[in-house]
This record gives sequence, C-alpha cells and structure tokens, in this order.
Amino acid sequence: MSDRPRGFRGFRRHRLGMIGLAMLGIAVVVAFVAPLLAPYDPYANVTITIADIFQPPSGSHLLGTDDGAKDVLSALIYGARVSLIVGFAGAIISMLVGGTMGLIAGYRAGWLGQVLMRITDFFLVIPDLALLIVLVAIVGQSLRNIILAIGLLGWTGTARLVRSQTLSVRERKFVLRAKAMGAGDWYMLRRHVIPQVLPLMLANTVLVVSLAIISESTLAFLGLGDPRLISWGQMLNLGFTRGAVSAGAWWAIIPPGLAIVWVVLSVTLIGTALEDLLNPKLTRHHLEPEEIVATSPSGAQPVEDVLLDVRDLTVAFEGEQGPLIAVENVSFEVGRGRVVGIVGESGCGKTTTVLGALRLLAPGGKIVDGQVLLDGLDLSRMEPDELRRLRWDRVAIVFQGAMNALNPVRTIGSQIVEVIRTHDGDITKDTARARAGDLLEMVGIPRRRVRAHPHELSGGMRQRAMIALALACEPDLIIADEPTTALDVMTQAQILELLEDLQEQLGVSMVVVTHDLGVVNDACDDVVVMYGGRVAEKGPVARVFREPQHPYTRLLLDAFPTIEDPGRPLVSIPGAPPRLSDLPPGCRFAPRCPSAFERCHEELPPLYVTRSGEASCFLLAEPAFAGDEGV
Amino acid sequence: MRVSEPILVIDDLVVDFHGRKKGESIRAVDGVDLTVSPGEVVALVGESGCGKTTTANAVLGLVSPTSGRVTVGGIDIANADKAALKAARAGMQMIAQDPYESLNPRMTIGEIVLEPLVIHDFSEGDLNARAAQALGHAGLNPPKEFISRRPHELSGGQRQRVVIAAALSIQPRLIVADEPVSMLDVSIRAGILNLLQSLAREDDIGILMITHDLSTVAAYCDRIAVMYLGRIVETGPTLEVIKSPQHPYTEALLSVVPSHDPDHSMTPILLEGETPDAAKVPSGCRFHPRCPKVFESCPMVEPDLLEVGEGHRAACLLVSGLAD
Amino acid sequence: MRTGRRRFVTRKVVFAAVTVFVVVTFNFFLFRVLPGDPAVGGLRDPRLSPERVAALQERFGLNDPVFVNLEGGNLLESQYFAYLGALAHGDLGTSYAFRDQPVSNLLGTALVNTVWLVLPAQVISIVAGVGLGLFAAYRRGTKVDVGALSFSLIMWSLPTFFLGIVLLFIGANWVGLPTAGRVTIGALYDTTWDQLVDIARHLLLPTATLALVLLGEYMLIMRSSVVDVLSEDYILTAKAEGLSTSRIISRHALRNALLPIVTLIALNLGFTVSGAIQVETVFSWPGLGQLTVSAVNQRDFPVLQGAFLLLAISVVLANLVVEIIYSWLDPRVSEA
Repeated sequence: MSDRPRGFRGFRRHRLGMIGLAMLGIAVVVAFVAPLLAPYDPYANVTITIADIFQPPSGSHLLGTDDGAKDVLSALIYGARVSLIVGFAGAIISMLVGGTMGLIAGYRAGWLGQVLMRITDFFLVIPDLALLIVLVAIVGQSLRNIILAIGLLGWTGTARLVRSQTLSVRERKFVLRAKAMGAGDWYMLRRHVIPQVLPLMLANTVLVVSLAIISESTLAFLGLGDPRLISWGQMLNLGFTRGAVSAGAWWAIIPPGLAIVWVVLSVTLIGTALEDLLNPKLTRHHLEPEEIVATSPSGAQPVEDVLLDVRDLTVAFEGEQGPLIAVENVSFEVGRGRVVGIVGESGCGKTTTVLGALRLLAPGGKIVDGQVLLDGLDLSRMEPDELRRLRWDRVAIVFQGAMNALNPVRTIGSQIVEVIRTHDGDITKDTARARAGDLLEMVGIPRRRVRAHPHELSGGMRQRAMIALALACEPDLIIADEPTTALDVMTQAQILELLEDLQEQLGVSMVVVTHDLGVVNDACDDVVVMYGGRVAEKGPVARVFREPQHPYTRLLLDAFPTIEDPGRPLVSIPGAPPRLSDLPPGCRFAPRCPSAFERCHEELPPLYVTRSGEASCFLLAEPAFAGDEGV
Repeated sequence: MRVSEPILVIDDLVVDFHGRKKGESIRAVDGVDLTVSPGEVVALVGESGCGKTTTANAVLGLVSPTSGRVTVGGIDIANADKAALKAARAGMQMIAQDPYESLNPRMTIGEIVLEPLVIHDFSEGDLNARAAQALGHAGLNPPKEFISRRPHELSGGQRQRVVIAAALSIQPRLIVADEPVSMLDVSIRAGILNLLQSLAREDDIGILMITHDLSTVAAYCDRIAVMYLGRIVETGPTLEVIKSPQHPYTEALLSVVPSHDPDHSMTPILLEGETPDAAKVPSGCRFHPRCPKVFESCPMVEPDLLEVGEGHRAACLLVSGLAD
Repeated sequence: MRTGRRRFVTRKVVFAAVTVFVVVTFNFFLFRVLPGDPAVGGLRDPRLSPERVAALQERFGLNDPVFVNLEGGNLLESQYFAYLGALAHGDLGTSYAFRDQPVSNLLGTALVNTVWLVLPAQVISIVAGVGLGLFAAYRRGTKVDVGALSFSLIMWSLPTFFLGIVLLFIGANWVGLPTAGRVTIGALYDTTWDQLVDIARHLLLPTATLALVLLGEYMLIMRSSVVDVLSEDYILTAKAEGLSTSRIISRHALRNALLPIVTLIALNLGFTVSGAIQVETVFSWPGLGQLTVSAVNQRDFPVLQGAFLLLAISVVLANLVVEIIYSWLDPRVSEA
C-alpha cells in the first residue's frame, strides 16, 4: 500500500548505501586511531633539507613527502579528523537552524512564516562560498569559526525542504482531524508533524554533511583554513601553492584529493540510499520498449457486425514474486454503432482490459494471451508502426481526469492540430486549425478557446476538450475511461448527453469504462460486469439489470442506492475484492458469495448462456437455473 | 421524536475568503441557517464549490466565520474561550472523505482510536478496553486483532471504520461527516452508511453529512439542505424534498441522478453551463442565469427561504408568489 | 494570460530590487558590525603612524556614525548613507592594496574575464547535461543509464578545485596546455586569429573543469525529470494518439522536463560562482573569483566588499532572468 510508513529499515538491503556506510566507517575509525596508524607525527617539528622535500613514495614514506618534507600518509591520516569534525558539526548546526526555520515557516503560514521564508530566499540567492570567504576573512580562521560559518550558511536547503514537508503535512486529513479534535500546537508538532518530517530531514542532513566537508576543504585550499591544523584542503593548498605541480609531485596532491572524494562519496551514497528508501522514485515510464508476446492465432473468422472483438484477453504485470494476472480470459464484442459499458469496482481489471486491448499498458504489463480484432485486424500481434498509424485514426480514447491527460504546457488547439496532422500529412496547418475550432464548437466550447491551456478550463470543459480531441480523426471506436468520474452530477449529465448525441450523429461505437451502474444504464446498450480480472456477466443492459444472473451483479445492484426507491435498505457485500497477489483458486467471487458451494472454491466457472446474456457462475450449471449448457 | 434541543445551530453563517486578486474577497458561504438535533442525520448537498465543505469546516472551527454564529452544544465556536472551545470539540468529531489520508501512517490503530482521549487528557479507566469497545462498536471485530496494527494493513472500508471508532471513543454528541463514502467501493458503502445511521438512532448522536450524492441522501438522511453558490436554496424532510422539490435547482439535480433501474423514466433537466465563480455572484436570485423557469423579477429580487410545507422551505420567487 | 504574466514579472522584479537593496545593506553591515571591524582592522597595521591612521580614517569617513546620525545635525550624515550615496554614483571606494585604483575599475575588468569563463561552461554543461540526461532516462536501466548515474555521483563528490588541479596536472605535464592566466605573457601575435587561439588554449582547461562539475548535476536532474514526465498521463495520451517516439519526446516531454532544470540553473547560480572562484584560483584566471581571494589574502576590504556585492547582485539578477524564462515555459506559474 502506498501509505506504508517510510523508514530506514530497508537500508541493509540497499547495496550502495551499505558501501557508503562501510567507506564512512573506515574514515571514522582512521580519524579516531590516527596516532596509532600514522607512521610519523605530522605536528612534530622537524629540521629539513632541500633533498627531503617532495620525495617520491618509498619504503619509509609510503606516500612520499610534501613541501615541508613531512610524511604525506601521516598528514592524510590526521587530516580525516578535521574533515569529519567540520562536516558533522557544521551539518548539525545547519540541521538545527534549518529545521527550526522550516518547521516554523511551514507550520505558521502567516506573517511569521512569510518573513522566515523571505530570509531563507535571501540567503539562497547569496553565493555561499563568496559569503563564506568574506565571513571567515572577517571573523578569523579558527576551527570554531569555520564550523560556525559553514553551519550557519548551510541551512537554507534544509529549511526549504522542511518547510515544504511541513506545509504538506499540515494539509493532510489526519492533521485536520486532530485540529478539529482540539489538539494544541505542541501536540500537533510532536505527534504528527515532526515524525513525518524528521526522516526526510535526516536524509537531507547526510547530504548537508557532504556539502560541509567540501566547503571546509575549499576554504582550506583557498588559504582560509585553520593554519594550526592539518586538513586535506590545507595539504592541497600547500602542495599546490608550493610547486607540487611543476615538481611533478602527484603524491602530494592526489591522495588528499582522493581522501576528500572518499568521504564525500561515502556520505553521498548513504544520503542517496536514505532518500531512495523514503521517496522511492518512479523508475518506469511509458516509452519503454514494448514486449510483444506471440499469442496463438485464432481460427475464428471476423463477424460481420462486430467492430471490436476481444477474445480471451489475458494481461499480466511484473510483480515482486512473479507475474500477476490482472485480466484473465476476457472476451467481449462491440457491435458497430453500439455502446458497451465495462463496469466493476476498483481493481477489477476494467481499465487494464481496455488499455491492454490497445497495447497501452503501464510499463511492466503485457498481453500474455488472446486476440484483439478491430475490423478483423489483430491489434495484439500487429507491427508497432502499423499499430501507430491505426491509433486515434480508428480508435481514440477519452481518458479519466483530463487535467493530466492533456499536456499542461500546450494549448488545447495545438494538441488537436498535432494529432490531425500526424494522421493526415496532406492537411495544411490552417485547415487543421479551422477543424480544431469546429471540433471545440461541436462539443460546446467557444471556438476562441483553441488558445486556452488545460488549466484555464473547468473540469467539465477539459473533459469536453478531451472529447473534441478524441473526435479529431473521426475514429470508428471511442473508448471512454471513467469519462465522468470526479465531475459533479450536473456536469456528468451534460457530458453523458454530449456523448450520446455525438454517438447518434456520427454512428461511432463506444466502450465506456465506469464503476457507476447508473452511468451504464444511462449510456450503454450492452454491459460487461467484471470481477477479479474476469468477466462475471455480460449481456444487454436492460436485461442484465432487470434479471441479473450472477450473484455479484445482483448484490452490486442491491448495494447501489437509487433515488426512486429511497426506502429500500441497502446491503453491503461482505469482505473486499481479492488482491492480484492472492487470487482465490476457484471462482474469484466465491469468498464473498452467499450462494457459494464447494465447487465454487475449487474450479473456475465457465461462461454459461443465460436468459439475459452470459454469466460465469456454477449455479447456472444446475438444470434448474440454466437454459443451455455453457461454452 | 425530536424533543431535545438541537446539538448544532448554524445561524446566518457567512464565510469570506481572500480572492486571487489583491483585495478581492470571495463569499463562500452566504447566510446559512441549519440545525442538527441529537439522533438526526442531516445532509448538506450541493455541487463542488457550493460552500458545503466550508460550512462543515466552520462548524469544526477550522475556518472562522466572517459573521453569524455556529453553536455546538450551546457553545459559540468562533467566540468561545480556549477552554470552552476545547470542551465543545470534545463533543464533536469529524469524518473525512479520504480514509487513506485520514490516518497517520506512523501510528497504530489503537493510538489513532485513543487520540481524542489523549488530546482531551482523559485517563480514567482502562483506555485499552475503551479502544476495543470503540472498535467493536464501529464493526471492527474482534477488536484485539486491530489495536496493534497500522493503517496500511487495512482496506479502505476498514480504515473508514477506524476513523469512526476514533470519533466514538470520546462519545461525541455531533459527528460531521464530509463525503464519508465517496472514495469507497460501492459494494461496501452501505455498511458504513448503515453504521452511521445506527449511531444516530441508537446512540442519539447528531450527524451532519456533507455529500454531493443525492441517492445516498435519499436512503440515509432525515433532513436535507440543498446549497447553491453559498446559500441554502431548499431544505426539508428528505422524502418530501425528493418527492416534491420546490426549487428548480433541486428539481434539476434530482432529475440527473443516474439510476440503474432500466425502467427509470425521469427526463433529465439539463442546466446550461456551469456554476458561476463565487467571486461573481449573479444579481437577484443567484440561480437565475441557469434557471429553466426564470422570469423578469428573478435578476432583481433575492428570494428568501419560505415555508412550503411542514419544515419544508425553498428560496424561489415561484414559491413566494412574486411570480405574477 | 497576458495580464497574469505581467503581474508575475512585476512581482519578481520588485522582489529582485528589494533583494538587491537588502544585499547592499547587508554588505555594508557585514564589514562594519562583525567582530574584528575590518574597516578599522585594516588600519591596525603597527607600521602606520598614528597620524597616518587618523588621516586614513578621515579619508575613509570612519569617524562618522555608522547607521544614522543621532548625535545631532543631519540624520543622513552617517557612513551608511555616505556608502549608499557613493554606490549610487558607481563609486565603490579605492583599493587598500592597489593604492588609488578605484574598486569599480578592478571589478569591471575582472567581471568581463569571469563571464568569458562562466558563460561557455554553463552553455556546454546545460546542453550536454540535458542531452545526456534525456538519453539516460529514455534508455532507463541500461548501461548508458548506469554510467550516467555513476558519473554524476562522482562529479558531485569531487571538489571543483581538486578536479581543476588534476586537469591542470595532466594538461601541464602531458598535453602542454598553458595552465595560468588569460593570455601567454609577452606573446606577440601575427594575426587576430592567433590571439584568439591563444586565449582559447588558456580557456580550455578552466572551462572544462567548470563544465564537468556542472554537467553531473544537470544530467542527474534532467534524467529524473524526464523519467517523471514520461510516466505522466499525457504521454500515454500522446502514445495513444499514435505520435512517433521522437515527436513525443521533442514536443511533449522535453519542455515539461526542462522546467526543473531551469529551476536548478537558478538555484545553481551561487554554486556556479563558487565554482568560478575555485577554478580561477587554480588557473590564475584574472576574474572576480581570483580578485576576491587575493583581496582576502591582502585584507583589501574595499575590493572584497565590492566583489562580494557584485557577485551577489549578479546572482540575484540572473535569478530574475531565469524566473522570467520559467514563466514563459510554464504558463501555469504566472497564474498562481
């Protein structure tokens, strides 16, 4: 589930994170036991001669000597102390300052929050290294001052992050509920806000550590480190300014540099791992190469009056423990000029069925079996180029929630023009533009709105624009996926009316995917009721709704309130729809079915022909119920 | 039946918001009157942007009224001192639309259920027993199996029951439920609605239900108030309003509710266009630009809510007899 | 909408102006109020006679009240207002170290040199970062993608100055490229072309250093941004429309994916400045960064103050430009 609390528990399985932790561990140990490890004391005074300077690596000096004839290895070991102290101490200061600022700015959105945010914005535009240089130059180059300066300049990122997190937590319903219960600010912060914000803040702090380490070494390299202390930046500064490059003494430069990279990389790896655990990023997208599975060709001939013929469609998704069957053996037909409703509860596979039929599945999903015949052409086995030419030209889709289905940064008109010209290269831009205007008028949007961006239209208008887009290439079939979900009843009625008018006018066939039995009754000729990825029942709407044959259809109708019969008691179906990872072995509905008997739990029922169509239920196998024996 | 004093009284409530433009102010709620008595389920119905959720938030003390009063159990929410407000809040609980967002994913079910008690410093008796009792009351049985689980282990319907259990743990007198079932699967909605109704009937809790779904209202609410653009345009006993709507807006809304009955024969009354922006409220009757029965006086006169039957009132000039 | 955008731009310009003013004031007090009072500190040199100190104090106006004159007379007769007045005339004072050199002249020359360095580096890293990030996202999970990710991780962990030194080491010892300055000192050129080639040879290593450092981050952000955009619903719409992959990427994914990059460029300007400071120091490039560092080392506070002011104001203004570009790329922001 999506709202599983994110924690750091999975860290041990994150390989890069563990490598980072090991690398950091080594650095910390080295810093602690520096006197034991270092062959020489780099802080000791030694008398030197010219010959001792920049000596190449040898048995007595494993990494050679530096400009002061000191052992590079020993300095390197002691240098870990400064880097780590500055890194962690600076980051703690940054986290405290930034965390407090962000928490207050996010929780108190009023003037105080505004002022704090302005201050943060101000520090965000100030070039930090320049300010750091100025500050350290003014206050003096002691370790304490450097830690303070780095800590006090590194908080802006944390503050912004914590603020935006706090703002979003504040709007979450469980916080509003606690507020309505009368919770005080302190309770709210302690119980709800901080626990949500803290993990992300810790992950961020790890990255702040790496910034602090880099800042310290940069300062030291520029000659602004604490002159009394040996740090890696300091070593690089002395090596660089005192002729290591011209002397070709790489050993005075490369080791301290790599040491910095080692520590920063270790911390960055840990930070990235923590962020991965808290915010698993999307890793799949719609343009990934498609996997076409060779399905068995059917011998059956296309039927005359059938436009879309889906036969035994089976769709699977990659799961953590093997493939998950989301749609299984689904067959239905869409006659020319007919409107077919696919109805079911969330997760029953209705959207997957239609997207699968058009090979538009989310990444990781593929057709495992079956055919999809559009006018006799098998979409499931077609070459990608051929399929691309056929899309939208013959089958268009009206997606759910047109806000995201239309490109937010392009105008409605340009998106319609684009698809018209993609499928008809001969049409001029002007003709296509005129046609886009006509289409908008046809769906009840003023012509001039071709220049509008999606966000400038209301929800209902966006859905109309989506319908205009679907009509752009005069398709034979329109698939509407939850076309009215999230719209108000009146807007829903308007959109359904529009679809009905267009359907009559243009004679186009339609598939309407919905969870609303009322929409099916209003808008469709035939219905396919789905449950658990399979067809439970199908047939003409009026007959199926009047005489439902499958217990699921019957119970669903009973659970649905109507306005005509307000006194009728509604009944829930006990239990919940099955999860894909845990499908029952027999009939998908058996665990919730009041009429289930032994066979239902063991075998999958086939589709039996019934008085009102076809239904998949063993009750119909009994002679008392069934007309004919099943297919 | 209703002998007791109303638990919730909303009196001429007005709520303004800052608009997008500087200095612009948007009136989200414009003079709403409503009462809820113990044991009664009252529905506030309307399309998105009509002000129903803002009204609910004003009741919960989450937004402050610009004018008017909200009284819960005799306490004026907006003007109460801290202690009185806290006392009022102990008697009033909220159920939100989204059961996935309503539960803190880092808390256990037991902690969530006891949260109201913790906030109000209740420590008498066995808290765990109390949590178990509330869970059982909300239909989560056996309660012991739920107490130490976390929200992500539960289904949507179970989560909404946890929210209800949390509300029940402090024994409230008023529950404000904002679209309590709209995010749930149809097959389990009835269970939640039946539970809420039984809480009203058996525990004498007053329930204010915010919804856009008139068919839900029909089966589960005693009284109904229909809002349009910040105002109540019609209110009355549910069955009466549904059987004989007096306001053209109510009539249109009822006519477009989809029905799964193949013999359903109501002709839908489709209104033109969309609900206007709350920043540009039309003159006179605010519904007149879309009203199928509009006549000359409508743009000039703002109709009052007038009695058309026993407890049934509508704000339309056709009702007030000014039509001539 | 047009008016929405105009309002947005106005708001941003006002914010930038206010920020500049705050920067100016902050800059003044930073050098006056912090412990160690550098304005006085510079005069603590024991070699200076008391008379000389007094004369210098008089000359730099250090005897006036700092903020507002509350000791009677004109309220505005203070160091702060004198500073503002001088600033309005482009007068940033004179350098302690290069006596009699106006700070503004030093800064002007240095700024030009820095732009020469930073601009090509930015352009190269943005173009290459966007291209590589796009490719890595499209071929998600392949070797190209893993390589791109590892490269950005290492670039992020590498201090800029260290990368500079390594390149300088390689360039100086093995390739024979010039390693310091803007031109070969004392060189005589036959043609302008030769002169340009000489400058380009000097620019090569510092630009490469800066570009590499910026590239890693741009690439990383572009990659994750493209993956995000390619999993949006409108990409599915475009696919369902039968648009070709190249068209989906160029017309639907690129512009939307660039939005976070533009934001990053804005946020990164300070980072760019920090990179320039380091690169200029390593390659003795006579720009603002080197001037800043040498001013620090010589405790030349007027120059330091001026350089810091110029850097900060450049970042504020560049930020403004980026935000205006953003509002043009994404019509939604100006409505918010």
